[in-house]
Amino acid sequence: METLKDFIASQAQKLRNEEPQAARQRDEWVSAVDRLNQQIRSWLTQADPDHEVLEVRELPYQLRDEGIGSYEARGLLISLGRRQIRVEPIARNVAGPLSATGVIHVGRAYGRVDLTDGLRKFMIFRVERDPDDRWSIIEQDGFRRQPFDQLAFEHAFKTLLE
Amino acid sequence: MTLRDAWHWYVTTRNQLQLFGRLGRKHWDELPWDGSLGRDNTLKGLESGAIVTGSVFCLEHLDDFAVLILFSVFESVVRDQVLSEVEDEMTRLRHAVIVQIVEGAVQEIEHGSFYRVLEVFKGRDAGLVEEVNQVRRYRNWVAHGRRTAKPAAVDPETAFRRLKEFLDVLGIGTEQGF
Repeated sequence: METLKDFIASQAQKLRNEEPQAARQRDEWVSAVDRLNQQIRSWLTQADPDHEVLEVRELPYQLRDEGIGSYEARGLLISLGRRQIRVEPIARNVAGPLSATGVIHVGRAYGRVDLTDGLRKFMIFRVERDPDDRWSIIEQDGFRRQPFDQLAFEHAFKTLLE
Repeated sequence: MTLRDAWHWYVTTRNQLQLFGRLGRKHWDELPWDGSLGRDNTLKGLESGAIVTGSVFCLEHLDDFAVLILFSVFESVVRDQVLSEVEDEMTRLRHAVIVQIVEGAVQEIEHGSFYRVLEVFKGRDAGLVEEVNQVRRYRNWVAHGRRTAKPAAVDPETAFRRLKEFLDVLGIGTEQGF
């Protein structure tokens, strides 16, 4: 019969094996969110080149995902006068949404970030990570998922500000 | 309540909160307060900022609670359906030992782990059962106060579609309630 000492030793080994993987997953996800934030900042700069209208600030978010643990990821707070829109990292592990047709399943997603003014919300799913990130956006009450490109971002951003 | 009722409740609640929040954010201060609106004791003291803050607060938690309610309704419907099928089979059983075993199964279906009830359907569509289990794990996380690490995050739309698909596969439909 396994003694408690043996049990603790096997648990310690398990933890040692899991920790690097969890850290890799966490770092990879946090970097992906940073790249997304950077992309959004770049699109906003194109729309407001002199930074006279939009104020963009980074915000820390405390997340705690199963299999990864607690960590911090960065989001954005975009202000247009009194109006504010947040780019908010939700989780690395998410249940993938269905595709636009409603027939083909997207088996999984590799993270979700929300674009929201607090009342309405667009969900941005990371649907691929290799070789590069690919993100899709869907409005909360919409049925059409589309690639998250500049056009889609600008549409979502304007919708939230209307 | 049926799964469709639960979904309708969620969409309606979300829309109402969004509408009221939008009214507060965009139009509240421009409303004609000189007339009857200004004499309404409930409304005249409300400020637009408080309306928006209240709506945002409610919406912040609504999605998680919607997953909880959607799954609870789904669970009841599935348990009822399985129970009704098993009870139907029971009427044909004669041997006391078999009847006793099945009575034990009925107890399990009514009060036992829902995970084990779902396991039965793995033969039909293991992938779909796992998708439903993902929703179940998220529901449990919400129901237990969101104190532990978050399992794979589930939004209400994804939950509804998965649960609806499961009921469709079982031939139950979303109109059946408890």
